[in-house]
Amino acid sequence: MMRERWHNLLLAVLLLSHLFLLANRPDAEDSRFDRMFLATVAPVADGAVGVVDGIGTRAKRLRTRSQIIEENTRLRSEVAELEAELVRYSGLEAELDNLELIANVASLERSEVIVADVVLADYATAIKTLLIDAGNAELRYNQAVRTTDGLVGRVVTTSGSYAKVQLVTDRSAAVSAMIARTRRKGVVRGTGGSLLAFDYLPRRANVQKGDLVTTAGIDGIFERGIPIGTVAEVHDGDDLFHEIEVIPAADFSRLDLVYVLPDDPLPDEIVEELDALP
Amino acid sequence: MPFLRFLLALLVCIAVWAIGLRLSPWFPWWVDPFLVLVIYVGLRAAPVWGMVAGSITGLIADAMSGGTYGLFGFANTMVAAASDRLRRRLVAQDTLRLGLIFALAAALQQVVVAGLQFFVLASLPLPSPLMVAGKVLSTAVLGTVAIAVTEWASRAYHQWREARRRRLAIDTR
Repeated sequence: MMRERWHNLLLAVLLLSHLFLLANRPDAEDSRFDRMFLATVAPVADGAVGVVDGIGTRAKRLRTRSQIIEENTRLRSEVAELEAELVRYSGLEAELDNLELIANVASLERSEVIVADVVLADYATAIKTLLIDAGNAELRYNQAVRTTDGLVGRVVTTSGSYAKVQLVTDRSAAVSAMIARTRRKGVVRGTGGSLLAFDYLPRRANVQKGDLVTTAGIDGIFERGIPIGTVAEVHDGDDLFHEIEVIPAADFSRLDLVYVLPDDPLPDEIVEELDALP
Repeated sequence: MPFLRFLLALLVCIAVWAIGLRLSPWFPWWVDPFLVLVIYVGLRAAPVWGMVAGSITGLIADAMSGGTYGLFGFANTMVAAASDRLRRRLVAQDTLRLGLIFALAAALQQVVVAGLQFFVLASLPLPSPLMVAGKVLSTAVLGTVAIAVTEWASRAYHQWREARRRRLAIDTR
């Protein structure tokens, strides 16, 4: 009888502590609690995934000669295309340097983009996250993450080379965005589903199905011009704003490698001015 | 020793979860290895240990599914306590009854999670009935398989020990 009471008391204490945790969720996403779990769980998950990938790689090696020849031809043509693109970008960089010289502005420091391996992608649960491994690179809170197709999300927790990324489709994710064709700005937010919502675009603004939506670059996290998605549906919302559905540009079901963009710090003068503000 | 066994089982659960997610991003919709472990510990271990294991496993499940700490922690602690009570009321030895206990406990977890999402975290969407049914079914099947496998392994180990003891007894004679 006494033992039963102790069990009930322990159960009550445990349940109340979980309720307390749930009711007092910290606003800061990069919490110590999160980091601790990331540090302990991520290596185990990474190891298990590594074993599966290793088996997959070995299985892939058992391919026929014709498949290898076919793949080689395809890769050669891809390399040729990428080389052509590289030449074009080298020209653009030189042009940019010239323009900086003419305009007499300090040359922009172009930081390196970090390539990270996707360890796990969980977008089945309500809170959509991605676990990435950046190898030796150091990741920081709020760094933008993208693929070649478009925006993926931002880093919310880091621990060593591992980081947790909040996907743009997460219900609590929001990005300043614009319609690329008209440059009208609004906010794209995750809905928890496969589509995104474009909010705060006035009803008189010109927007059509198929319009490209990109980042607006005014939220201090995502640089301007990263594709977010395309407009899927435009409905007349309330008196002021459109109700717009956006199909994400990134294919979340095929995430393998992602690019973590540098979070170039603000110039010291601006930081000082911001600090001086009341 | 029970703690080490639990830790090992927890590592296996994390590995299964990670591999499942790698194979299909929709894996957590249908299978919850942590839930299977919680019910298993609730059925097999002492009540206090079951509740503590439920709490730990729940917090890990919370961390893995986005970081809403307390959601699965609360649900899994309740599931562990309920499994212990079910074990004491029903003498479950056959596969069907064990499967039923696993299914009932999984359904309880889904109800508690949905209740917390609705009443405490109003911003999160409720799980779909199809997903709930899938999870209940998979937990019942995996739980029954886990119990059958561990019982078979335990029997095999004891038989091997008995055979070795007898052989040693013969050798020393």
